[in-house]
Amino acid sequence: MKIWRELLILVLVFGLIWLAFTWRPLSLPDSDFNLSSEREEDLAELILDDIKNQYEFYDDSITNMLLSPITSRLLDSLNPKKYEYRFHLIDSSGEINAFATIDGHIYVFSGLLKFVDNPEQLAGILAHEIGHHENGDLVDRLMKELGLSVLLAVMTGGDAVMVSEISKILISTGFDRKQEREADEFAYNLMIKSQINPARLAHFFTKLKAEEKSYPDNMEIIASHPNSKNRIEGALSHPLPKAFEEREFEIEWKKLIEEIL
Amino acid sequence: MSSEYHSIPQPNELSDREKDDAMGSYLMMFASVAIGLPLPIINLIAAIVYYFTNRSKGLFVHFHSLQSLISQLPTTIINAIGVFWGIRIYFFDWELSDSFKGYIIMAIIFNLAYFVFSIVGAVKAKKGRMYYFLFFGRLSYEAVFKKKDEDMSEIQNLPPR
Ligand SMILES: [Zn+2]
Repeated sequence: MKIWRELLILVLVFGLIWLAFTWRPLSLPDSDFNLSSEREEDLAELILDDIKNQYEFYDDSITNMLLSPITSRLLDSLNPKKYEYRFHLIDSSGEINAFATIDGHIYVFSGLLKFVDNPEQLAGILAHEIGHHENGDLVDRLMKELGLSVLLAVMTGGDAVMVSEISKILISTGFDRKQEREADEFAYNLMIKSQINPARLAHFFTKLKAEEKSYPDNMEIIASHPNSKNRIEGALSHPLPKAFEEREFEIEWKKLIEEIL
Repeated sequence: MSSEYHSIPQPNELSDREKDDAMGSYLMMFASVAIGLPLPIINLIAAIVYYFTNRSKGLFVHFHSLQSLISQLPTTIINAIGVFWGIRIYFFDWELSDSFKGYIIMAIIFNLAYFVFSIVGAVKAKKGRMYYFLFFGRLSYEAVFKKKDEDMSEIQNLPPR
């Protein structure tokens, strides 16, 4: 019967179009689309506002007192740098985490400061986050995901929604393993330049591993690394230059943290 | 002589009112698709209501409103699946799979095709013409113009044998 033949044609057209575009998907967001640095700056501020709605932040004075000795040493040995880095300290003892958004913003939870044994370990983690920025991982991730978030923003309407979608993308873990490896590699090199032994990161991972069960697994710093053993070995076996000598921070870290946080 | 099918009304046999109602069924359908896009169930209900209020207005109007109703079903289902798939991705994995991208592109093509066919259908209906979509046209024709048993039984008075 003709009617069944027509139905068959319709179903075939449906299936073939789907298959054709699945086979060779048009990369909607990718390629030429780029975030201008001005837009990136504006967007970073909007994301900061959005995150401020979700968390309590420490004052700049406290943030600077705790972080700037570490960050300034890292940034002094980073040349050239892609961004003017800005660090934020979130008041949340329960979360051992740090993450980067865009335009050089890096967010650190107070739980991480309490967890690390010394400022050198923290420096390693911050170096890793700086690595994501310098390697362009964040803009890369945003561009990859923007197609869907635009779709959702159109569906739900409104710019505020769009912004919180974007910050959700950036906060939720989503780097691939290659990006994580490269950020680690970047961190080791920056640490060496800043006279901090990359083994400090291994100590941190070992400590995390020992207490793994008691912490959530959504940390940026461990999420994409199911194999923490490799990572510990990676940090320990990273070659050091001949005359390398570690210069420790002159901070009584645990005491300082106890007093301030 | 009795045929299996009712005869198809010709343009000069139709009132302007019938032509307008037939055209309206297409315009109504894709207006409701646009309104109901986030929640395709809404436009489906609107479409069904429109169909039932119009199908008694003669075979011509009945045919066009049935064709536009059933031809929107696949588009509605495709859109609904797309929306729920999108929500699923949004809540669970944030991974834009190739098959989802392909599906969205296919859905856009189907929506556009539906839109174009509805415009053509509306224009033809306004002119008092029949217009058959692939498959749905034939299905609607069968449903509306084929004589049913009760139609036959209505013929009680026959000419002298
Ligand atoms: Zn990372």
